[in-house]
Amino acid sequence: MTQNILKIENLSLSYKDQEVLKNINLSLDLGERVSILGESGSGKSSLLRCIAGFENINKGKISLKNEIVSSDTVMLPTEKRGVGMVVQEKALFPHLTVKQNILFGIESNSNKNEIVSELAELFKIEKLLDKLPGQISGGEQQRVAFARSLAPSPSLLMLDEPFSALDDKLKQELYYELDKIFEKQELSILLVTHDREEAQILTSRSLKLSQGSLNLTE
Amino acid sequence: MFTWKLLPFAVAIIFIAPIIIVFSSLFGTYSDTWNHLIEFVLVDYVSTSIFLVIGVSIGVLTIGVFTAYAVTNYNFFGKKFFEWALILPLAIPPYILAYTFTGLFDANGDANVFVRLLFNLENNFVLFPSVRNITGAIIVFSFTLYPYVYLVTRSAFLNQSSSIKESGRLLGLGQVGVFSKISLPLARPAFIAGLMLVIMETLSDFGAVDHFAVQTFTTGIFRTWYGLYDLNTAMQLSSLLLMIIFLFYFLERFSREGVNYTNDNSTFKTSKEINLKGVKSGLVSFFCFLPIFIGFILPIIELIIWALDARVTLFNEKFIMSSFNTITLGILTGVLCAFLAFIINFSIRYTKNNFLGKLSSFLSIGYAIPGLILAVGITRFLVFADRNIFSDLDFVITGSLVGLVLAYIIKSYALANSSIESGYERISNSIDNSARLLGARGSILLGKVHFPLMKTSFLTAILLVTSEVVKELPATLILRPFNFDTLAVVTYTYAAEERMYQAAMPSLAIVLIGIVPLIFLSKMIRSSRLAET
Repeated sequence: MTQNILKIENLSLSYKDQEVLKNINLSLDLGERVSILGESGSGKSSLLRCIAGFENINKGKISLKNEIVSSDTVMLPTEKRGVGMVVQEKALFPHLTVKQNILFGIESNSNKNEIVSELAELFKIEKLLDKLPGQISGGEQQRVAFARSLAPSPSLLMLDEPFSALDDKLKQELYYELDKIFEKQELSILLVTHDREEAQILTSRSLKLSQGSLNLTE
Repeated sequence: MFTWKLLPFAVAIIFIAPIIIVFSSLFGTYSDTWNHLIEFVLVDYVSTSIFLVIGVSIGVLTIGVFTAYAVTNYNFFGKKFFEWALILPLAIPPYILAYTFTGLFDANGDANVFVRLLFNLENNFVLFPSVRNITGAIIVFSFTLYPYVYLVTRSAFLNQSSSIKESGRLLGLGQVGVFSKISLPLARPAFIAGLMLVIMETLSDFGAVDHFAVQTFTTGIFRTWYGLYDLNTAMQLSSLLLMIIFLFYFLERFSREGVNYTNDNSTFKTSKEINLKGVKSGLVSFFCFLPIFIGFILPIIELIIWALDARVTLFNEKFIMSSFNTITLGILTGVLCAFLAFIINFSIRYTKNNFLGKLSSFLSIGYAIPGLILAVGITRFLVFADRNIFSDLDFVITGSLVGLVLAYIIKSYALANSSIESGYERISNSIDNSARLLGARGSILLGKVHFPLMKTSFLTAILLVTSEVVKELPATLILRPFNFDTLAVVTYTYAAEERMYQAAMPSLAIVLIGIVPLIFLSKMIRSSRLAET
């Protein structure tokens, strides 16, 4: 029996008087890769932020590995949810080297150096380990961001338009490399994008968050 | 074009001359006074200054960093008020806080009297210990100077994108971890720069340490000159202090230029404030209120009580004359400083000469020079000028307002320059190009195009300099013409004679004028990144 990684039931979210998400239902199993397509402002990023625990939801519940993490009575802090996220702006820590960035979430892990070496090899960033984020290119920064997010072995990796700041050539390169990595590691992925091609390459199932964030349909 | 290039050099020579004169004393003869200082008091000056600097650093970092983090990242009771009110203590010069603290916490000070009355205690009961010591000085400097750290650190925290902090949370950090492992290291260059300014101000101060009888370099320089009448040794002592201050000045520059952790606008995301409720909200509010209470409200209350209790005519001739002198000097210096900064910045833009740009930022070093040392250097400089230029006459410029205004200009140029510089940043180069294509060059471009566009920056520069001049004590004390008093000098004289009631009105006037630049600072904070988004 496949393990359920993410379950969202009747989720609603409002900012002040504006309803951003309404009655969202979504389920994701181990190793499954799902993309959510939608226009800007449709609530895609808000949905990921709810799962990550950055937003308090108004209604419904979110479960990770069958444990309720968000509901009207439960709000598990972000750091205890065990999810990873890569965003468009990379959000690397500018005061830390590439290696220190990757080590950040696994400092107490006894195999931390092995993990860094493996990820560095996987993402082809071995030569960048001692550099600061400001000293490497945008594409390289995004590779580091992926490596850092994967280091703590998150149960779910969420991608919030992670390629939108990259040029087309770089995007294509990364798509195929990441596709292999995701497959090899049996990662559960939730990708948010407005790019259909990206969704097709990286995920097996696409859903659409329509205008007004009211319906989530296959 | 040549004239525009020459002008900044001429100004630089006048700015540097007093400093070179001070340093030149190191290569002259050393008197018995110097030997006496080395043998008996220099170790005291150094150790006291180090202890003072360490204590004040801990104080300002604790208050400045934590309040900046709280108002930037949390929503709690009174947050909107604290955002701007936390800079209010900047309006109180350390010497005025020192005077009010003495009045409050001496054995018969208002605070002890209040406690005795409240609990019906004996007349010899003392709850609050005396503050006339180095601990008192540390408290005074910490509560008047922490806004330097608060301002720059808050700006750094505002510029930290939420996605960076959220990444920390996703990688397992709690709120404390985000603060200590992400926000604090990222803000390090900013708060180190603020701290360097505080250290320079602490080492430069004369009024507060003199009132508390704390033996530091500045009190030593003053006593050597005015007590032992040995100007040369005072200059040699000044050189030592100046070297230490320049060290901190360059550390401050280095910490600002060495590392840049700010986000570019395209990827910046505003942080969402965390709501605090109940006890947590109350505690944070209390922690933010405390520095405002000690550094601003308490001294103001004390000064008002003194002013109301004073059995003398408050608006007497002395007060009116010193107010007039102060404001006249302030505005005169403000206009000169703004004009100078305007001309120099225009020269840089017009000639497109990078070296002139570096020269201009070098001229800003004046703010780091203690007023007392400037006074020492300028006195020697003016005596030299009098002897060589007006040799047939008596002293013409020594003891006139020239020296005083020169000291103020050197010390305040940085303030005027920052305002004019930011004003120029807002004027597109295409405006210059259009004007030049239409035949406007040099002074026409300056007067008919730039000046009308720069009026606000010009006015801001005048106000900033004026408020700084009003507070300046040691340079005024030494360089003022005979019988020429300013509010700072009158305050100092009354306080030295323990006539605190009479010191209240001039002190309040200084504080009132000191609030003016804070209005501009508040505006700057509001126009920072958070307000834009």
